[in-house]
Parts: sequence; structure tokens; C-alpha cells
Amino acid sequence: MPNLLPNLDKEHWKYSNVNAVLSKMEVAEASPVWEMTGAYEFIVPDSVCDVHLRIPKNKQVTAPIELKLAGKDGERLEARVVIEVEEGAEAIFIERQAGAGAYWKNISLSFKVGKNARVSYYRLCEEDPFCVVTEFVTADLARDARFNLVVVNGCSGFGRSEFTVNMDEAGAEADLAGLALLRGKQHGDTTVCVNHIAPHCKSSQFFKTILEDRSRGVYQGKIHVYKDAQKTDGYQLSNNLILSPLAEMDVKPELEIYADDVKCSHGTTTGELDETPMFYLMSRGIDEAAARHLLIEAFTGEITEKVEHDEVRALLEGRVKWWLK
Amino acid sequence: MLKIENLTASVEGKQILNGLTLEVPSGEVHAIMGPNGAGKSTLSYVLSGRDGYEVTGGSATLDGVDILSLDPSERAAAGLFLAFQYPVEIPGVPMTNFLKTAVNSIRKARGMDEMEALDFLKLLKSKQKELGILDEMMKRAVNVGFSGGEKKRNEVLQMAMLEPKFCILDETDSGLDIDALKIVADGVNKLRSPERSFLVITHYQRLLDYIVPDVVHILAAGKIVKSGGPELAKELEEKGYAELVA
Repeated sequence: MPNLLPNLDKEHWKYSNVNAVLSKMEVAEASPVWEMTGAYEFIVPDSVCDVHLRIPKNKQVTAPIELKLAGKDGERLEARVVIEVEEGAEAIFIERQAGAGAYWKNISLSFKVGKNARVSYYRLCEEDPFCVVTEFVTADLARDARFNLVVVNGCSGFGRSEFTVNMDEAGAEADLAGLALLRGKQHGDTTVCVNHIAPHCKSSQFFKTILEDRSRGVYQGKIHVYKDAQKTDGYQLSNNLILSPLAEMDVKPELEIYADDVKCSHGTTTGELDETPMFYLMSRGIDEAAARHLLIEAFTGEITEKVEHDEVRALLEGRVKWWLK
Repeated sequence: MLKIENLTASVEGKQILNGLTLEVPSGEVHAIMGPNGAGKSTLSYVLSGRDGYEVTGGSATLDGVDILSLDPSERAAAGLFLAFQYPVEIPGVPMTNFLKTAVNSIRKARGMDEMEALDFLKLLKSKQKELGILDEMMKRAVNVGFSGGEKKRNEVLQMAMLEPKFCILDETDSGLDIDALKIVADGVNKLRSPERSFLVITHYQRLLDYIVPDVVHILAAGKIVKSGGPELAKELEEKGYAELVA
């Protein structure tokens, strides 16, 4: 199979040798079939995209729209999804990735969020560690748009989630958060870039990874502030928990700032469970295993509690609980 | 109840406890005072089993049980409790959940059944009231957003809920104003009983006006250099460490 994705020599792919993984797989192109719930009235016929949804102006969709894609062993699925949320509209989307076996999903998901519109996007994966999932999510935000995302990743054997948010017009706000749960030999790469093109926009990136066994995690978080993006408020934080001596985490926070009146911060911590809270809990009679469990659950809670919709939060928390057992 | 014999211990390769010998009988409150660097906190961490504190000699037993061979949670089950000088904040772990897990862990280790949820809440509410701790505080994560005084009151609450045999209070009074001090001292005094002992580690004599000890020990350069009644604390305050320790 020819190299379809960038090689290691491309700076922002250097931690994820996806072509090496793909070259060992035997997959044949198949048509992606998305199962959708709550989306019927918003479907736009499209010859290029598998899914094209448009939420009309000022429409408030209260029930989450679910998009589920299942993969089968031996498949190569090239999926394209476009979601337009027009001016003043509000919608919640849940993307569920499922499947069994060794397949490759290469997904492009593009959001266009209109003026003063609000989009919440949640992603959950429920797959085997034999598949490769490369997903490229872009969001273009118009004036005063609101875009939140919370993802729980880390079930595929090799996963790369790229999020590119373009703050195209003033007053837009983006709040991005995610959790990657990695074990075995899994490789989980989260690469985020928020482009502050217009002034007066606010963004936040908060991503955590937990690594067990020999897993490998990558987080690349970039805030790019363009020349005219004055009064930008950008925040980026990455906290990573390493639970085994053979696990490895690569973190690259990046700020590229061309405006001179901005507020940007970036930070990262990577380490084991903190000794002081562990000692405190154990000194109260809680045994080591139970204390570790409490602290790891607390670590994930900071991300899942950001989900405002109760049922979706329960769904994501359930997945985390399942992984923690 | 607590018998420490010739205990030597080091932290990061440096020997801090230099042959410390101490005995605290059941039902008594013993105070330990000493200059900075004497080994007061080291003693409390060595007794409670913190990582990084290495025992190089001597022994410590609680009612005959060798506690130095147990891990921190086992020592708690054996009846030991440490009220921290700087209680750590643990975001994401709710207070009530933490307390219930602790109470039930200790009950299980003692061969008892877990407490019923409603019984637990009833007990918690009554102990909260005694210490003036609002419900709102119990909804937060452990020690998160608690003021210094609230953190110390929370330590006393945990003591009241876990009912330990031997309580070590590590500079419980540091950073507290008189009002907060009185509440904490009240809480501790309520727990005094013939079956319970306290080791009150303090830098300031003032606490001992409220928690009156049976015996006062002076800890200097890693060992107990002088012991006496409560008057010793007053003498120490008047004369200072230099004169008494010389």
C-alpha cells in the first residue's frame, strides 16, 4: 500500500509512525455505513460525503444526534462527514466508533459553526486494539460561535485524532477536552491546533492521557495566534499519568504568536500518581489498590465532568469505569 | 500503648532520629515539643509509614504489634491515626466518598461488616455538628478549597469517624487563630478516653493550654532529652530551647 499519510519526517507526525503500522495490514476499500439517530430531518443529499447534515438557522435540537460507524475485519473505510450548524442554531453530536478486528478507518469530520450557533461534540470509541483509526476533525467558527468537544479515546491499536479549530470571526469560543486511555501496546496520538485568526476569541485545550503497560501516548497542542488576533485568550493544559515503567508519553505544547495583545498559557505534567495523596488515603486505612483506583478515577473526572448533557456524561463515564476495572 | 525503643531513622540519607525512646500508656496525652529540625515531623512520618523515611534501628510497637513492618493502611487498621500538619488537597475525590471508604476499609480490616449508608450519614452528621462543619464542605473534594482552619477541623472529623486507638497530632495548631484552635482542641478533648492515647506534636506552648497533656517531652537533635509534667511546657516558653536543651 502506498504511503497515504505523512511520514515521520513531517514534524507533526514524528511521534506517530502510522505508515509502518498500515504497511503490516491487509485491508481492502469498503463503503462506510453510518448509523444515525435523530438526524433524519437534517440530512443533505451529497455525492461526495457519506454524511452531510445541516441544522437550519435558529433551530434548537435538544436530543443528541448520534453518528455511529462500525468497522469490520479487513476493511479500509474512507469516511467523510460534513456538519453545518447555521446561524443561531444549537445541536449536540455524539460520534461512536465501534467494530471488531483489524481495519483502518480514515475519517474526515468537518464542522461549520455559524454566527452565534452552539455545537457540543462528543466522541466515544468502543473498538478492539487491532484497528487503526485516523481521524481529522476541523471546525470553522463564525462570529460568536460556541464549540465544545469532549472525547474519550484509546481503544484502537493505533489512533490519531487531529483537531483543528479555526476561529475565523470575532467573539468565537472553543473548549476542547479529551481523555486517552491506553494499555497493552496501544498508540494514542492527539494533535490539536487552534488557529486564532480573528480577534477577541477564546480557546481552551485540556487533554489527559493514562498509560499502562507498554502503551505510547502523544499530545501535540498548538495555539496559533495570527497577527490581527488581538485580545486572544488561549489556554492549553496537558496532564498525563504513567502507570508502568515501560509506557511512554511525548508531549509538545506549542505557541506561535504574532499579535502583541494576547493572553496565552500552556502547561503540561507527566508522571506517576502523586505520593502525598496516596499516603494520605492509605494512612486512613484505604489499601494501596483502592487508593490508586480513587486517584485514577479522580484524574479522569476532571475531563468527564465537563460534559453538560447528563446522558452523554453517563455514557462517557461508563466507558471510563469499564476501562478502570 | 505505644512503645518506641532506640529508634533511629533517616530521610534522604541524613539521619534525623538518633535513638529515640518513648512510651505512651493508654489513656494518656503526651506532648512533644522541640526546635525546628529536631525530628518532630520525621517521628510522625516514621510512625505512620511514609515512603522515603527509612528506619535504621530500634523498634516501635502499638499494643505489642510491631507497626514498623506494616504499610500505612495496615497501621491505620491497627489503630494508628496521623493528623497531618499540611493536609493535602485531593481534587476529584469527594469528601463523603473518601470518608465512607476509609471507615469501611478499617471496619473490614477489623473483621466487622461495612456500615450501612444511612447509619454512616447519621454518624457523619452528628460528628460534623460537634465540629461546626457545614454540609456544603462535605460535598467538596478532599480538602479542596478548605481554609487552614477547615483543613485541621477536617482532620479531627476523620479522627472522630475512624475512632483510632493512637492519634498523632502533627503541629495541629500551626496556622490557626485562637477561635479555630479552640474548636480543634474541643474536638480532640471530646475524643480523650482511657482506651485512647494522643501524641501531640507542637511548636507552640499555647495549644497545651487547651489540650492539657499528662506528660511533656522535649525532642532535640533526634532524641527525647527531657520529660516532665505540663509545667515543663511553661518553663520551655519562658526559658527557650537553648537553655533547657543544653
